[in-house]
Amino acid sequence: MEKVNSIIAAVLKITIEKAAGDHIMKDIPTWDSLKHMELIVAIESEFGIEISGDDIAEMLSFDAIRQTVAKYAKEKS
Amino acid sequence: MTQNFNYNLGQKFQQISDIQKERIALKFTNGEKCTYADINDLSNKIASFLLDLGIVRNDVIAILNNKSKISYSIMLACLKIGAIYTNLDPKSPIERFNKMIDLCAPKILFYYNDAESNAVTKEYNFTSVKGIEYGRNNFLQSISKYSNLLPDYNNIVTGNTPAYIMFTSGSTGFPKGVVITHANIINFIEWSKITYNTTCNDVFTNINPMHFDNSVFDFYASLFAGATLIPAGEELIRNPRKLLDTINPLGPTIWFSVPSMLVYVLNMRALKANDLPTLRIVTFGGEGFPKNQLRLLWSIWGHRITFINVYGPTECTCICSSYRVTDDDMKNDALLPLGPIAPNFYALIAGSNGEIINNGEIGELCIGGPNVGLGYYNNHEKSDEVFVNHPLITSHIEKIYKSGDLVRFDNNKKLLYFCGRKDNQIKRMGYRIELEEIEAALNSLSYINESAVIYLNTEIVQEKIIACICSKELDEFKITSDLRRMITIYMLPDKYVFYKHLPKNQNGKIDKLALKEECNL
Repeated sequence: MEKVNSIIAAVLKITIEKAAGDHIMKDIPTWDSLKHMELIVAIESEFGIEISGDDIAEMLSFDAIRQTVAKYAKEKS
Repeated sequence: MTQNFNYNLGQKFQQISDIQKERIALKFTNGEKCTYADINDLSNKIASFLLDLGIVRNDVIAILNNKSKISYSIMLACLKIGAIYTNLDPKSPIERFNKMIDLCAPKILFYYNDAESNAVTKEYNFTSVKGIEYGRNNFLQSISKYSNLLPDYNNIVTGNTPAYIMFTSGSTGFPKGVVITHANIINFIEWSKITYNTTCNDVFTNINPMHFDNSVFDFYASLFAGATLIPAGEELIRNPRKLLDTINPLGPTIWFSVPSMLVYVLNMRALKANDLPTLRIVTFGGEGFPKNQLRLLWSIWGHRITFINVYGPTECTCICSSYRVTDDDMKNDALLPLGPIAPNFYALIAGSNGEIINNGEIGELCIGGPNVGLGYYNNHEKSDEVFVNHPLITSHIEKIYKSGDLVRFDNNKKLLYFCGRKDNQIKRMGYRIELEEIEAALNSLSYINESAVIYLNTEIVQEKIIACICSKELDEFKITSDLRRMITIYMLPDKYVFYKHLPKNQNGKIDKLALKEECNL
């Protein structure tokens, strides 16, 4: 999950330590819709996955993002 | 039979409410509803309360607007007594917020009690402005003693009384406050009724934040046509699937947003073909709609929903042209036309020397007509730069607005096409950003010697604000955190590029073209 944390940190301009914690979208001022799109695109491109609309709708916290990526990575393998 | 002469918006709203007291004005996403009589009575009470506090015509009232029954009623109350309301962004960094307050010197700042509003109000020093928290029961108690009738004072509110101030980015680092009058808006309302064929059965979305110019359409095109408005809060908008699930049963018929919002909905794979079955018009403006994404939306909705692209600067009351999208528009990659200029407007296209162009060449769009605002609040210098006399009329004064937008007019199709900007203004999520405002913020940081901000939207680098800086501080988190005190989040650079010296051109100025080439890798 370090890769996911790095993507979160780079896109939202926060430290890697913060990205490794659990925060919801509302808590991170730089996490607006533009950055949210960037985040999803970067994750999909890095892991070679395409996340469904229903799953994207749940990706509103760092933990939820990591869980979703883990689910897709498992399905892929 | 006598007919009412509604020369101000307070009278106009009173008349609409008198006719359809029990019809629904606001449908909230939590299921609550509010009739025209409800908000009309409430706004009249607040109007009398404001008069009692000594507020008079032309006084400014600032609002941190949470899209509640009370906050809309405060706007209406201001209109009824000729006070000028300004909806401020509760997420503004405190330094920017202070600049806006200093500029418009409001007599009252209405705020509400939640984390978003508190973010700015807890840092704000209420010494020069009276703060009123409107979200609490004691506010409703304090106005309950007032009459629910339109105050007589309303008679002195004329068509040329300012109605609102809308803040937008300023190139000197200071936001500019555009002043729009009652008469400007009355013309806008009449245009919108005809263009959208609005009836009292229509239901508009209010997705746009109230401090953003597009909300002018949401508020005035709906409530001043006797239609219904669905206020949508920011948290809901962040999650487009939830937004659609929530507003589906409320039966929206007209959706207005920036294209970025629709792109967000599409990219989040949130839109299903059967979403919003009652919708008859989707209208968008504030920026160009990328064609690939537009085609995708058209393929889902185009067969049953009318698409209208609109254009207009904040300085000309939100919208001044519209274009109905057709199948043919999907066959090319060009941006949609801006449309013909709206009735009761005129457009001049000026060449680089100020000469009027009639031959289809590219020039600056200058707009004239009754939607042209009064200028920038407390900023004569900037106002005089862009609100200028019509160059061909010397017998009397007729103001036109120089938009800075480069356009061409196709004489055969009678349509305007957007071709770029004359200056360094960009759009992000529809918000206007003067890149100089970001540079001014960077240059105010003690550790930055020199800066230049560029915007790249190429095949290689998409929609990125890049700060090229000579800085003693190399920690991007620290720089971003310092900038956040001064500029809003959507203005923050996406990337920093560190230089020992910025390249200069032959005139000794920073060579932005060279920087763009270097960064486009």
